[in-house]
Amino acid sequence: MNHNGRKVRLLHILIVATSMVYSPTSQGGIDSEYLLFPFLGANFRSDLSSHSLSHNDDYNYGVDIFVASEYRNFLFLGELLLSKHEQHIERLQLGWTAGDSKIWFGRFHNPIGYWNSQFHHGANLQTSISRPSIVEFEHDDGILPMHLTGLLVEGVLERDNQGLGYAFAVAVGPELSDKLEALDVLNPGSGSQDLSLTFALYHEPVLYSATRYGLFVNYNEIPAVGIGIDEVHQVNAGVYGRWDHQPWRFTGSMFYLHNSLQQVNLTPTDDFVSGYFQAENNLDDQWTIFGRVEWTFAGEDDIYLALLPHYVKDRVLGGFRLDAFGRHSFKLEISGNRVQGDNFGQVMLQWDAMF
Amino acid sequence: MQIREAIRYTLLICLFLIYSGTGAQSTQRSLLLVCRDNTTLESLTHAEVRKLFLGVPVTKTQMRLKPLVNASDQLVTEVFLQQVIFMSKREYERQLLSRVFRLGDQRPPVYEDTDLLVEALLDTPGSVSFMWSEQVERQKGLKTLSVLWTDSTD
Repeated sequence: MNHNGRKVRLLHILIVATSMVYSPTSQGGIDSEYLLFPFLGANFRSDLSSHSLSHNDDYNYGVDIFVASEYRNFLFLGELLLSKHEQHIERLQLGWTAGDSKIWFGRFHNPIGYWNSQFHHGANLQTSISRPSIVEFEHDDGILPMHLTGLLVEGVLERDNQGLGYAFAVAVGPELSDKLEALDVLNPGSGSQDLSLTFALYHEPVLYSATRYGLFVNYNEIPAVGIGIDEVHQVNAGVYGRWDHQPWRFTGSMFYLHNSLQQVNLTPTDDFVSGYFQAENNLDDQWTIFGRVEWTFAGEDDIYLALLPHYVKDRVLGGFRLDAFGRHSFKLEISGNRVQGDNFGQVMLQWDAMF
Repeated sequence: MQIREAIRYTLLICLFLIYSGTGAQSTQRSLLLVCRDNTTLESLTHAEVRKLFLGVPVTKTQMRLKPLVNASDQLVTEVFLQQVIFMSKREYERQLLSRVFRLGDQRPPVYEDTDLLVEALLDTPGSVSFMWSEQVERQKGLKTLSVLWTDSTD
């Protein structure tokens, strides 16, 4: 994108942000929630190989702006990320409440797994600094469609104080170039997108509690003409669990991915399995320690992962989080990582907050 | 020496009298679910109250209910969260934020002043809150929907 293009895009984003922030709080029956999530972080990497695609050190800062408004059964939800590296409208949804269901139209988070449907971009809400690589966002070298644009229906069926949650999405997904690019709602004609379908179910042993277990399946047709492939046809399916029993929290998930690279004379296919498991312990009201392992099976020579070499195939990490001064948190995370053809260590520091 | 012992015994007797007097005057305390009295709402189950205060939209008698959190004293909020919501304050706030951020739901407003809470209850159709029984007795225009919890220790 050229310099003028960036200016126009930033102007668009500022106009949307201003209209979000200055929409009525509780006027004429409209109730609204505003949340700001500022963050400042630094990454230090060691032992990078000479041909590594990663930088030794980098830093990032920014703010995630969130607004949700409700007028009778109508809903509006917007989330905007402004950071040193990017300015994106992450979610922009218009919705309708029908009983215990919600019907959304717009750009939303793909309801695959626990992490992507719970934490979004508000850094303060997740205990760790990093996301598991299998659910990393597209613009952070993620390998799965995390944002879709289209129709989403979600809700919970209640029975005997237990819940059966569901989500169904029919939408357009990302395009693949050097990384996945979800539809830009400010410039919808700029890319090439195709079909994405997701179906997810979860069970809450105690209705509306944090503990839940779920499964999901997602089908994507991802245009990739820019890198010499007509489309990637992708199926990803998996299971997850979240067990919350103070002071412990455990979150784990397994993903199976099958990719078919559609080309004129050739359609190679490949598949692999990936997963993560995170344990957290609240030592007291302020201190939390956490650890996570991530792994990839049968992904060594995978034809799809070869297109996205930044993907972290294996990772072991540990860290702590200090919550202090109201809604501020200070986090430290140390990890060992393995990407295609490289192993490196990483120390991450982050301050984030919520207002 | 005798004077000191006399003072000590006198103090012990006073403490005993104060202690036994307090015990004799203790009354049973209940946590009540309340709304304004000129409403068609008659009752809510524990499950509906939990759902409502977790930010889930609840409609009864064709009226969208609005939960108001009573934070006028720390104990009333703690008892409500432990006995009705089954969560610590930290978990509750985390759960509410998660719903807001994920589903666009609204968090219940929090009132630290009882007068303002009662004013909101009287002014807002469909509003529901929780109070100690003695607080409700002092207010006009409120009705009790259910007993959420009773202190069984005398």
